Amino acid sequence: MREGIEGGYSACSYVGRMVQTATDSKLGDNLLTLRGVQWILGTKDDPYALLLRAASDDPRELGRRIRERGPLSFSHAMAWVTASAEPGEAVLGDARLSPRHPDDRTETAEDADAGAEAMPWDIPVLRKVLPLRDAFVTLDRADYVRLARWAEPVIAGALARRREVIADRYRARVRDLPGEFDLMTGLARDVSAAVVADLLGLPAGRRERFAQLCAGTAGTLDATLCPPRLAAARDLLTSLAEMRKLLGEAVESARTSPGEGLAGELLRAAADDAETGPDDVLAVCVLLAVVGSDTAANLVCETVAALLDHPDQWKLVRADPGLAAAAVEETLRYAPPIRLHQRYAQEDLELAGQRIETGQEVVVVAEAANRDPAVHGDPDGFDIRRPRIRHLTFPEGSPVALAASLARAQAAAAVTAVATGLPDLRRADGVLRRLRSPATAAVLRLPVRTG
Amino acid sequence: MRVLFVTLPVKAHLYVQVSLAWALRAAGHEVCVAGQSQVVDDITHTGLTAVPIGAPLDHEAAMAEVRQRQEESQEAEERGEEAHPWETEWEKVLDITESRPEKLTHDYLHGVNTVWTFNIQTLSPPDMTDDLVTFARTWRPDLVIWDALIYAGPVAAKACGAAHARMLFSLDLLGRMRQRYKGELARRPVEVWDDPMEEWLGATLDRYGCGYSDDLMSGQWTIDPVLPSMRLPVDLPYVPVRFVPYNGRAEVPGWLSEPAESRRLCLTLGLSLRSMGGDRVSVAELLDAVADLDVEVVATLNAEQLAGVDKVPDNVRAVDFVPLNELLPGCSAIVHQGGFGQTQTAMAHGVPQVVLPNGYWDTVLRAGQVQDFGAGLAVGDPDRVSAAEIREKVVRVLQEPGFAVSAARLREEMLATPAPAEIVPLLERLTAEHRAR
Repeated sequence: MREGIEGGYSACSYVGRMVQTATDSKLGDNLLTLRGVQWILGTKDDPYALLLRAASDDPRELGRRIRERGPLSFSHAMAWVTASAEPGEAVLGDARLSPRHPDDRTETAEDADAGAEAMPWDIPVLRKVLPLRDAFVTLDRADYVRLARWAEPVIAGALARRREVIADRYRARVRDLPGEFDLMTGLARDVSAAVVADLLGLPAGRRERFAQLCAGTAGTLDATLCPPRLAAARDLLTSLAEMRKLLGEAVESARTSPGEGLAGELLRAAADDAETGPDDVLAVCVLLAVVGSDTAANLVCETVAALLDHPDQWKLVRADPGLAAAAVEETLRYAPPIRLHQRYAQEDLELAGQRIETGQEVVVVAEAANRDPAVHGDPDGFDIRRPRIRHLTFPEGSPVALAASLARAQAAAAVTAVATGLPDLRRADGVLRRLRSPATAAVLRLPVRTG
Repeated sequence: MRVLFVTLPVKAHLYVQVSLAWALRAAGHEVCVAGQSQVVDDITHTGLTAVPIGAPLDHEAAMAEVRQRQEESQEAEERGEEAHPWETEWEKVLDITESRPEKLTHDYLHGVNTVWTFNIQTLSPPDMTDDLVTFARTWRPDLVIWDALIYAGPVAAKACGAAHARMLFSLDLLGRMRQRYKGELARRPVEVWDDPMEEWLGATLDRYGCGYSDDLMSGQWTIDPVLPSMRLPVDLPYVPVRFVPYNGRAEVPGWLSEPAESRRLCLTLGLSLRSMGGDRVSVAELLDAVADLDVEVVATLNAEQLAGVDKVPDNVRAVDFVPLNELLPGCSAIVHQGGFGQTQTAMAHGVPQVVLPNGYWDTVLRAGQVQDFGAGLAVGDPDRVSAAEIREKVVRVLQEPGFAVSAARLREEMLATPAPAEIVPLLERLTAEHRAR
């Protein structure tokens, strides 16, 4: 008789097991496949393919190499790519190129799943494997233009009115920091999320969860270009769904009992605009939370890091904190928190001498275009007194455009607070960046110390 | 006990497991071998019991697709176009055999780990893993012995509480890569650990309500048919086992029973190989190169390979198939492509080797080991080999007695390694120690 006995195994248990669907296991397999393909594509030394890998290659060097390949070149990673200012501007200003893929305009969720019935050797498509509809980051270009038209003045007005509150938030946190701390987790991340929560007028009971969801959704833009790890992808999808629900409730409550928050202001402005859609106010709120909060926190870190790395510029800001806004603007050019913009051709078109077919992907490497020597003098220098700072970091008609004024206002407040409260700040160690973040190169840690 | 073997659906992998499976059987244990449909006949032909797992793979369609892609990429290259990296040999850029320390950066190892995870993952698709887990939970094996490429094996072991051992079919390239990669990871902050293999295994185990543990990666122990002196220096528990050649169903042809008139040279190339090297050395040229040697050449060539040969030289006996294990004892040397079975069988019989490694997996490394040991010669770059070079190496291996002396030493070492039957008590003990029920 065999000695096996019935009973629980020490290593694993059926108790409390989550029921997982085949779709879930397919998600993991697809993400791994896409990541494997990304590494294989990099083996031919194609600079854009290497940029998507987001490994330890220097992104600035890769950007230079993309520019050397011509104004608009086709990458093995199946995208047209530009790292030059002029074609970059042309791409971002072209109404025929949109963040939304033309196939996604009419497609239902079932259509997207049908794509999974592929043969083993077919490579899945990231935007179908990981649909990010809840994040509103893949709308039509025209939608973003429309949203900005009526929402941007409201956001700018709300930020202007709250300027002192935002400054206070950063000042208060700066006062409490120890001698050695991490600028991202100790300052930027928390305060940024709190400022957005203030702005949206979220009730006190929802703020902690909101901050967690901001962290959970922080990888959204990167996930449109680089498959995240499975755990990160699951977290992203559930966080996005919950964020949308939380903000949906906030918008509903503002509708029934108009208060001080931005949601109420947006509802009123939307009601005055002839073209607003039913989800518009929610879309603006979600974009401010999902894109705005992370972008602001990264911009805070990038600006402080750039200043600490350029003592002459840091001295200028300490002497005149009024230069903080200029430092932020130069950072948006020099070390932008948004580095890649993804577009799809809505029709066959010709651009920079290349024929682009409907549905093809076009990517602007903003980080490199911002250093295009054809447009910028001393492109690799960090100079907050440039007479006119130009960059492609927050282009019109994109999901990041609505985050621009929020990120600028927060970063200026943070830099002012740091320059006045911690004038002897120094870097303590290298910066650590989030895994697989080619679009944002998001900061995980920026260790600094005073004295 | 009940022992479940899990094989890659390829004969060469299955055959490495057969002698141990029979040793366990002969010691009174129950044995099953699980594999996908395309290997089921091969399993039953060994006399062992097969467990088909996974949806039948449309192997023909897959191969046709692969062939078509290869042709398209070759045509593109002939037209002077740059081949897509998908079609080119990324294995050479992210080479799992790479040993130069300056090349073994975190990114390099991460890349190798990423692309190999992606490949290994396709060898254990969800439907096959589901079937294996279901079978294992029903049959309840005490021990799962899994081919080092089939991670459905340890997952099923974990899901049914069995002990599990990894069985090698080559040098332990995967074990070495894991160890190096873990070393590099340990130097990095935990927030930026990005281990795709652990991610995949973790997610797979999660489906069966199990958690990941490090033994999943390399087995609770590793059964290793590589000679101990040739084993890569990897810090894992190995159980060495003698390689006992098995060539499938075979009969000894009449001519092999008769004494050879002269010394015998075995020439065995891949069955579909018609030409090789930079000059595209053809089978005909290869045969011409050995035509004037005072040896009887036994060449395994099928009709397709012989199609381009006008006249088979007098001293060449072309045979479609002959079991290497029966042929090699009478041979003075063997020319082969570095396959595990070929190299190991030559060692088992103390036959000097000329190795033209085909570049797959560990063939180049192993050819180098044979040469370094003095038991044969390796062609450095088979992509540039000429018929003259092959001839020169064959002549040296036949004429210089040192090769045969060293080959005999390898045979001695192999005979000193415990035979499959001899490790059965150890496997019983290890199973009792590691079993979770």
